[in-house]
Amino acid sequence: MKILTDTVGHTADLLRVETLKLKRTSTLLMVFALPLLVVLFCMGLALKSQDVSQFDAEAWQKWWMGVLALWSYFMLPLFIALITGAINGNEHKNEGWRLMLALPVNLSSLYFAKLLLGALLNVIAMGWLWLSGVLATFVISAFGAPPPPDFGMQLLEALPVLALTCLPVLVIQHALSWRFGNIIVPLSVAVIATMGIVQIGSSQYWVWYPWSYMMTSALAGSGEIRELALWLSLAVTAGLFWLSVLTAAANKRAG
Amino acid sequence: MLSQSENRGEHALVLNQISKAYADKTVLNQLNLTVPFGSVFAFLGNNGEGKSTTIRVLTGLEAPDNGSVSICGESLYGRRKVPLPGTSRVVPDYRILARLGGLIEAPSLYPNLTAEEFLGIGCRIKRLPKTEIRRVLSVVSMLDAAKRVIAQFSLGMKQRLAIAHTLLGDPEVLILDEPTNGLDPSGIRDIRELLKALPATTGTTVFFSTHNLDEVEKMASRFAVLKDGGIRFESDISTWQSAQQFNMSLEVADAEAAQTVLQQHGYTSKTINNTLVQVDHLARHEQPQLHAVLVRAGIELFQCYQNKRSLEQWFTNENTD
Repeated sequence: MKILTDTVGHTADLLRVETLKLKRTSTLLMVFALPLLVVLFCMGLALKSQDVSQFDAEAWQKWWMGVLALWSYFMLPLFIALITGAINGNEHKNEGWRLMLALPVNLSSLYFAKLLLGALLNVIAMGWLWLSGVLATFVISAFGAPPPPDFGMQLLEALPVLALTCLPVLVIQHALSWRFGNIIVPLSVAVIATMGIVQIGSSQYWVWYPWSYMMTSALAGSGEIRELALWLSLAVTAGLFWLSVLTAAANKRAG
Repeated sequence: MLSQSENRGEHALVLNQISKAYADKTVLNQLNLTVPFGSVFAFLGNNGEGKSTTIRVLTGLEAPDNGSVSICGESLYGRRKVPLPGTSRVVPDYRILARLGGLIEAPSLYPNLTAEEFLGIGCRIKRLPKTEIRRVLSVVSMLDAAKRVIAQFSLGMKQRLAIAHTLLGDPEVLILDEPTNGLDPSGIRDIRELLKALPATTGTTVFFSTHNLDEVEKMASRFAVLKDGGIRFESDISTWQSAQQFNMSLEVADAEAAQTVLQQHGYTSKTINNTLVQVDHLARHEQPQLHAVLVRAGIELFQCYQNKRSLEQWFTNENTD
């Protein structure tokens, strides 16, 4: 029991330390700017291409689905690559590995704390995506659209699932950013993988492609498929996490 | 469960038969080294001899291929099974690192943080009170820079801050790679005095590598020279200094008379001019006897200058093959 509480305490300390390291960096700006960019794009599209006075309940639903789609299969994978790159890049740039590993730090806990921070920033970004979506509905209404029937409840319900189904990608990007000092490597992987989401995600091979889980869980027509995407992503996360911790330990301290 | 002070072992650091190779190059070859408690131990060697590798092994950053490392009586490395069939790996016990303060190569700092925030990292990980931040900042005379962002610091300030970080929690052993790098003369003096005083003030053992051999003579109590992956020479500074032979220039009233007396007593000497005699190959303990011989013979002795061989000269000679 003591070992467990010590490990949890140690990881919590490391999480605070990792959060502190992001102070005065552009990471937090990214957390708020990228979701906002998605909402602004969708809002601009709505205002430019449609007669907003004709916005009925279905149009509002489509608008929210547009926000969700753009986020889940385009911006989210890139966002994950950028934040994991920032969290680990801090160490690569400043030789922080030497500092951290000469301290009484459990390497696996450090790896996990960084991953956890990535997941938390992801949740914050998704919360902000919804909130900025709500703000955008007021702007669209100000341009003459009837008030929306709800404030994107569909998006709000999809986001927690999305936060879980993006975990395999988060683990992969975190492992790459941990390993490679140059952000070009993880970012290239993210860009190339993102380009394949629509193609592979809509094929029968989507189960082999972790980048497609987000889109499938958010947008698949069948509830069963959405559920499968969720469970699959949890299982894949567990496997990838185990593998990546082993690799991470091997390429940083000692052994 | 023993407390830290009870569980200290005989030496602060023990490296036993340490070997480390990278690809085809053997860097450390069955290296043996012991660092006594309370010493200021200088670790010398030319570039590429393995000083930094030794420091990385001591701080848990590089596992040795063979051999063992003990810190305050506790073994740093152990073999741990990896959850892959038939594999295991040598890994450090990270908890032992709490007994160390380590500065490895250049200072590792986060330029976006203030000095205070940066020290907060070590404080939180070592679970120390926040008062410790101000204490170590005051030790390195940086209290007034506590709230300044590190990006604005000079190289010397960064080095002092990195040293302050190693002092958090008064570790039992400090391991420092080139601690006076980038410091101006007054900074070097401050750090020298600080490190020299640590064994007496906090009981900390200091192990440092350096290229500044003048500093070693002023600061260290013991030193070792690393060459070809092993310890080529190791000694207390005082013992080494006593054993060094040196030349002495004597300013006398009559150089010829002094020369005659000295040669009668078996000294190797030569006259430089009418008032100056040089005596060669003197050991430290022979110096008072030399004075006595001259005084007894009625030679008027005005001044004597010791032309001591510095550690730097000695090191250069020793390392010129």
